[in-house]
Amino acid sequence: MLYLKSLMKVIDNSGAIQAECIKVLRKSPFNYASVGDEIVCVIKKAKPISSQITGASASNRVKKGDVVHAVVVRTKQPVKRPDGTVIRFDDNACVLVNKNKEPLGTRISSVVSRELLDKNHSKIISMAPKAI
Amino acid sequence: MSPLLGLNPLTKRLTLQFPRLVRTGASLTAPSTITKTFIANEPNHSQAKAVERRRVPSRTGLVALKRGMGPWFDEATGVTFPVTILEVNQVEVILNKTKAKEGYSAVQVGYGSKNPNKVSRQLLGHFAKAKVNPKSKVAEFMIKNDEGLLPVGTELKPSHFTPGQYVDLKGVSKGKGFQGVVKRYGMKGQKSSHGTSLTHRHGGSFGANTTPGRVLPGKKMPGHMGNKNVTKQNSLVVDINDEAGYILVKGHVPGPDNSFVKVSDAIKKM
Amino acid sequence: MSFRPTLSKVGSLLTPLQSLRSYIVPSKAKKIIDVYNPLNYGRKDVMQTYKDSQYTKLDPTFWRRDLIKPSERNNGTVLRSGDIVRVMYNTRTIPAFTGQIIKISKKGLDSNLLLRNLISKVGVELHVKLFNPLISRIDVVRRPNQYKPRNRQYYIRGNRLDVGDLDASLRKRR
Repeated sequence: MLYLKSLMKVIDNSGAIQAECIKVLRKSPFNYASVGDEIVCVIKKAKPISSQITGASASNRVKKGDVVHAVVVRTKQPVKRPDGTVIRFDDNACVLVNKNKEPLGTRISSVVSRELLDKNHSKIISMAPKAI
Repeated sequence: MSPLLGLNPLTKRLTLQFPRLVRTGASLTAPSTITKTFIANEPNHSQAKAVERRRVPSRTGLVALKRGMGPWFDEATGVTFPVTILEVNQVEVILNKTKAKEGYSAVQVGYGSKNPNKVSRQLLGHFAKAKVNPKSKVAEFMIKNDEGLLPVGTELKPSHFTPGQYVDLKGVSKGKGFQGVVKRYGMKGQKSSHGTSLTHRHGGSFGANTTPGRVLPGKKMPGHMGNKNVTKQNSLVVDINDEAGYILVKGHVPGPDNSFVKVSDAIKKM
Repeated sequence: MSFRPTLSKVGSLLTPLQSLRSYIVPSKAKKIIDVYNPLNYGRKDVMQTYKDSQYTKLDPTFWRRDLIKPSERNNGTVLRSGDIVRVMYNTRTIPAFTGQIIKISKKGLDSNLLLRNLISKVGVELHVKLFNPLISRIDVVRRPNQYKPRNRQYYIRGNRLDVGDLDASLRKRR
């Protein structure tokens, strides 16, 4: 359950470390973001930009204060599945995306939830080291 | 034309007035200016038309006993949801009500069995007429027309319904006693501090002062909660078992365990 | 002005009761009413038959029930909080999950396990329904040397008692 002012980790290599939600792109009454939902967020912490990084990842680099779109990939709030399984992670995390819902980064560092598959974010799943 | 109105001599005379001439307009004007309209058919707001319009199932339902709840797993997909177990035991048709006699079509069914010493002699005679054992519960199901009537003494089994169909469930909800507005209607109450005095779980104002000078009807106030008829519409029938005598219905059912529930075809899925 | 019928006292005293109106003599013999026998099925408790049918459908070989209930088949060894188990599914779309049990709720058909693991430095918890038909098997991978005297071990989250990366530690053992 992520909404205005929620802080979350950014787990891709776009350079951002921490993001803050400023808008949930989801219709009421579900005006909170769960796994697979898109949000607008502002970067609160980012890695310093170094000249060594080149290529596609360099052009997609974000810095502190940038307003970007992101997809929530795991939540602390338990998520129930149709077969009765309930999954819960220890933190909230997101992956930055562009307007076409394609990830900005080229790599994802940690585990994501399999609910992304149902919401057509299969590219994020294929980039992640593990999807549970 | 319904036989209900046909039986009553007063209403019979009234219904014969169609088609008829009706005077409309003011009566103080000259007789020549009064307009007259010709009503060919019975108006739509008559009682007989209201009975025809009413949404009722085309066949009878049955009485069941709510026994408890449990989980249900779909073996192919693994989808799980809770189900309620409704027992169906010795449900038999006792009486048929017809449009010609009672004015509407209905089937009266009884559930289970009861010690004959604890049944009044009037009811014992009623059961003896249908040649069924004394029942612990008797209920009536209104149906659309006389075509859905069943012979007296017919036993209704869980296979009266098929898995996958939708049913309406009527029961009496659990009584909660005298409750305040916060629990009864979900009002918010007031703040616990910041100057609030003795009105923490209060519903707020009951209305204005001199105008209208009274509390408007329908104002939500504290009172008795629960213990009233509740209908749950469009419940999915998950499974039936004739040998064991139960129906599995998806989700919850109004009322406590071991209470009677009326199960009938869903009127909104017809 | 109200209308009241006047009674002639003299007349009512003189005339016998039967001649005034049709008087029914009360009879003490009761009319006999037939009572029919109920349809006797000799059924068992409906809730019990429902549970039995679900057990035979979901767990014909008793392996799910043996995980939580001591019996002759499992020699009394059941799952306990602290065991590390691996849950395998019979579909390829759902990957297997390894985790340490931090809670077992024994509620008949609703029984479930709470598994915890640390995957890529993120704690992951999974409630697993024991009678989920998609689960093909649940293996005990490792049992602890000493059990903690609690079933609900929520207090291990996020401190030195917390579970490590179980997948990595199991790989190292082999």
